[in-house]
Amino acid sequence: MDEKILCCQKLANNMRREMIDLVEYANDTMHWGGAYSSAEILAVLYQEILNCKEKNILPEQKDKFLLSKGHAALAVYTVLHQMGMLSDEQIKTYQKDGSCISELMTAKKELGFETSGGSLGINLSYAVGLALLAKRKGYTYKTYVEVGDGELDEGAIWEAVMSASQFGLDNLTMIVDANTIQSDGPTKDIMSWENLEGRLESFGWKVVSVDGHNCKELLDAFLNHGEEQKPKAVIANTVKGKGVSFFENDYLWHDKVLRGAELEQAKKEVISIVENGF
Amino acid sequence: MKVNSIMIKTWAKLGQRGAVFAAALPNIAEKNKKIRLLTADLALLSGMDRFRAAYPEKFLNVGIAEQNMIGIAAGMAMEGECVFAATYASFIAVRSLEQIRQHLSHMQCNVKVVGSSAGVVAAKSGISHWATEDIAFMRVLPNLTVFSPADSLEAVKAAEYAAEYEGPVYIRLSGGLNCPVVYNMDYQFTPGELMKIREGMDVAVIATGLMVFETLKAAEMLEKQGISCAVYNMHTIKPMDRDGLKKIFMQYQLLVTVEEHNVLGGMGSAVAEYKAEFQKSPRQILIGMPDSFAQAGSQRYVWEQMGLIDWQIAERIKREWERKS
Repeated sequence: MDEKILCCQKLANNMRREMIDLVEYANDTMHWGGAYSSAEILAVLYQEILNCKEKNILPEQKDKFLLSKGHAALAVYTVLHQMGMLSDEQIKTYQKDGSCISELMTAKKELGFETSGGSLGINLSYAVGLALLAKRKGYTYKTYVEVGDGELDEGAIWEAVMSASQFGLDNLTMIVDANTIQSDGPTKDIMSWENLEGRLESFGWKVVSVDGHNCKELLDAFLNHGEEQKPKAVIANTVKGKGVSFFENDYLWHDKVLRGAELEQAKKEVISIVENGF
Repeated sequence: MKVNSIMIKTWAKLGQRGAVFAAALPNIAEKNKKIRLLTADLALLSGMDRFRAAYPEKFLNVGIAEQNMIGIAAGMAMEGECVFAATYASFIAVRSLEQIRQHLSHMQCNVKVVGSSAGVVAAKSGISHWATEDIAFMRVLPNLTVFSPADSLEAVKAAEYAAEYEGPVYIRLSGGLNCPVVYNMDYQFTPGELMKIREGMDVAVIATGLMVFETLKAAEMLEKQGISCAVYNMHTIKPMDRDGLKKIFMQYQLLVTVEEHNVLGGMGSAVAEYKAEFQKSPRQILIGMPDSFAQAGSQRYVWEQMGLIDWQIAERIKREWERKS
């Protein structure tokens, strides 16, 4: 177990370093905060949970991961690259004209990008469709969808939340990257999701709340705590921008150009994390 | 599906919506195992009972949640199913427009969006239940095929085609029960082809949906007044039949388009956009809902405010024809 956890944390740290490396190719605004808060979530999912890595896996068995908060695409690209599912050549095209590795997640099944995520609030429904079909056809794949906490403002999320429990989708897991900050500032000031556990439970979901930077807690939440006929929500309490001191908890680093002294500083910090841990 | 005159009569009675959901789709699903049917709490009104009874596992009512319905349909379609998602055109094409754009148009999920009661058939319900802008919204979305059938038989043919076709489709169903019959015997439905249904020398009139029948009546009236109108049924708004239109542009000096839809952005606009490419082409008159909302009432009452009744169409064409001469 400890070995696994260590491996996930290393992966997350490498992702953080690689996200900074990608500045070299993009040289434009990049969505930092939500990608950095998602690092452990994605590392644990791809390293330990998702059955999607083997080449010849049957579609009806291949687990689905949907990034609904499409602005955290950096985290997906880097995890896929670290896992060897995206090549060096592919990731170098990040934000280049004509590349599928675009700033926001755009669907490209061949590359493992299951859906287009830029428009918030619409992909939980898509996940419900995937999970429901699996139920009805006896497919064994599981569906995981990551939403942002700001994304919960969208009404369509709650339509989907309601329907997932109505249809008894215990093969569906929604991860809320609860980094408490949205584009314009703190979620509690803009549109509070206080007592999200209670809200989701009252909608018929099984809810687990964890430290979203603690790989052990995340892994445990994904592996356990299921309940028959109930969709599962993992509320990952995270720090927006986690890992780079000046990204952390600053809504201005939601989406910004990183260059000059700040780039150097960020590089130092992520390299130190890779070498020494947090 | 083999079609006989009894079927045509029955389907006409059921209207376009009933013909598609009560009569045709259960039969289509018998052969095509990938068919699924989703609705946003409009099963009863749409005549989906037979489908639901025959295929409970393939039917789903998502509740009054159109956006969620499109997302769910898209998710199901991505794993190889052919998903029909249906409710009133006013809600499916307007409220879920963004989901249609992302999941169907961009990601090309194999979903057949069926909007019923398009136009103003829900006349007394008022504008919330009218769909007079759905063609405009749907036709600007890449990868979407847009059908606007003229009668119940054509609605069935469009649905049959959509079930076999791989890709997103919007089917605009209009009218209520007792849909007027344009095709009283079986015919070849060729998607994407402008269909000439009446010969005429002077004026070319292109109509879509329920307006095809009104236009045919208008053409009869005009014939008696010495104006000979060719009538075309544009059942496929997208992809548009460019070759067919080109021939019309070459042949006629007056072109009229008729639709139960806002004149802005609809079928007439689509024709005009293409016509703009030609140095020499006929003058075009766009008949449809003027860019304003009408008062609620009976369907005839609403049509009359919009100038969509046969004699109004005929008068307008006559006026324009005389102006030309």
